[in-house]
Amino acid sequence: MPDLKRSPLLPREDAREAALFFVVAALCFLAALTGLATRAAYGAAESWAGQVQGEMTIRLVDGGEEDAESLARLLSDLPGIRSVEAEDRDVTESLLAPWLGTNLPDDLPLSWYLGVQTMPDAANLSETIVDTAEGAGFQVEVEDHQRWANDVERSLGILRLTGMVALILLVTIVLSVIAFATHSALLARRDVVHVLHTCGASDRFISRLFEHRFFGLGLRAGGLGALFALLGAMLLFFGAKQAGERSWLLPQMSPDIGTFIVLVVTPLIAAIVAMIAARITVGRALSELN
Amino acid sequence: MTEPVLSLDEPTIRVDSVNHGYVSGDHVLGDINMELKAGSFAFLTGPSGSGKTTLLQLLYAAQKPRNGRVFLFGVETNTASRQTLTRLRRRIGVVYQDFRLLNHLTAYENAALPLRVTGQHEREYRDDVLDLLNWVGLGDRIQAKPTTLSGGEQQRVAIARALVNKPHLLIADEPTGNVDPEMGERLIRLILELNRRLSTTVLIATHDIALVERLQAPILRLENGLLMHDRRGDFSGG
Repeated sequence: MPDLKRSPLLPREDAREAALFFVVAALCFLAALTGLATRAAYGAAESWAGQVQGEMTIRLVDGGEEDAESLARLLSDLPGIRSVEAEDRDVTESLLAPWLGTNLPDDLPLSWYLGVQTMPDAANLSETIVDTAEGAGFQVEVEDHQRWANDVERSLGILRLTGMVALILLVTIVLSVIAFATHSALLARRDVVHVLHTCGASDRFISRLFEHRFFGLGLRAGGLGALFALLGAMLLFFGAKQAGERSWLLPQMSPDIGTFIVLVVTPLIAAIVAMIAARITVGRALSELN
Repeated sequence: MTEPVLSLDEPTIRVDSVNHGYVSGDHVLGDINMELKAGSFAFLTGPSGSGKTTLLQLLYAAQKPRNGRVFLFGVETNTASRQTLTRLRRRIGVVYQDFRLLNHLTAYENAALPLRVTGQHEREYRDDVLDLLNWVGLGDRIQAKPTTLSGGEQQRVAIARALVNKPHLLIADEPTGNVDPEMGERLIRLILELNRRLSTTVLIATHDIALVERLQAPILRLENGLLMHDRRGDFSGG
């Protein structure tokens, strides 16, 4: 008995499908990279906001180093306060340098500043700090960075919106190009559709053949594109991390569930779009046949 | 709505006042009326361009007539649903002039295609397909791809594919056009045997006048889109 290998009913991938594979992979690379970048920018934005909103500065209007340290200890026990630290004179001088210049005389009286780190959910701390300090006989001014926080929040809003618009635009382009490329690749297979049709294959049978083929193609190409996007993003973000001490301002990669979702969803969407495009194209080709 | 029943009591083919042309307005067929009873055998002849291929396409439900009606097994093709047309196609074997084999499949797989697309398991049809390929003289070429076969061999694979599901109607467009006379004779005898043993209705379009005269079968002759009937045999025309 001869060994009769069962070939797939659709021909193996040819040059047209190889081109489609490349197009889908490249587009998925761009989409996944944009997705990862947008996510990382969101993360960085949250981090900036946290940095600004979680800090306060207290100016001790009248008093010396011991007073500043005593006040720091007093405020450290307040609810909502993570830490309080009296800044030393060098820090104060560097803060005043834009107005008073450097090399200030040692006997020049300068206010003492205290840096306060607060809990993320702490509210109305300014009033509590002022009341507590005045109750202990200290005169203080509190700067809660609200003006900065508002500016940062506004900038972050613009950044988020820009990232989201770029992502939506790119995804729309990706969907259209994949659908168009699938349609073009399928037109070359009309002869197969015709033969299967006249041999008695049902429309659903023929359509399913092409849907499976193009779903698989979309999944493989999309997966490859997403993998390269992950590698590209890692290179970019880890490279940016080497940028220096201000690297916390740059987007950061974090291998969390969001990253995983971007990498899984991208090829899945590409596969589903290719499959739907295949179904529509084959449906049209079949409707032209009796 | 209930699906129409495909009836073997009805004439296998009935054509009522069919006029058919292209969108451009050029007429190919004019006022065709004909009927082929179940189990009949007929030839369709006519010069090139007379409309033979178009008429055959109407008869194997590849096209719908622009005017008039075509009935296959009692079902009107113009009004039948796509599912019904698929069921009709599974009862019709077609041999095309240009073979229409799938080049990525072997001779065996091409011949088995009508069975495979209906979801049958290979173990159910394997022996029948091999027997058929042996019968048409391709027993040693079952693993060959069409591109490595001669024109005659490709024709025989196409014929095996048309016969493999024991169709109730066999339509062949120049089935002996690419084979030597001896093989042509064998193929026609196979078709005759199918016609006699299984009562398969057969319509063969051919230019081979010698073959037509030898078999003494009824003849439908197309000239300039009009059907001229030779009234011998068991088919009737209007």
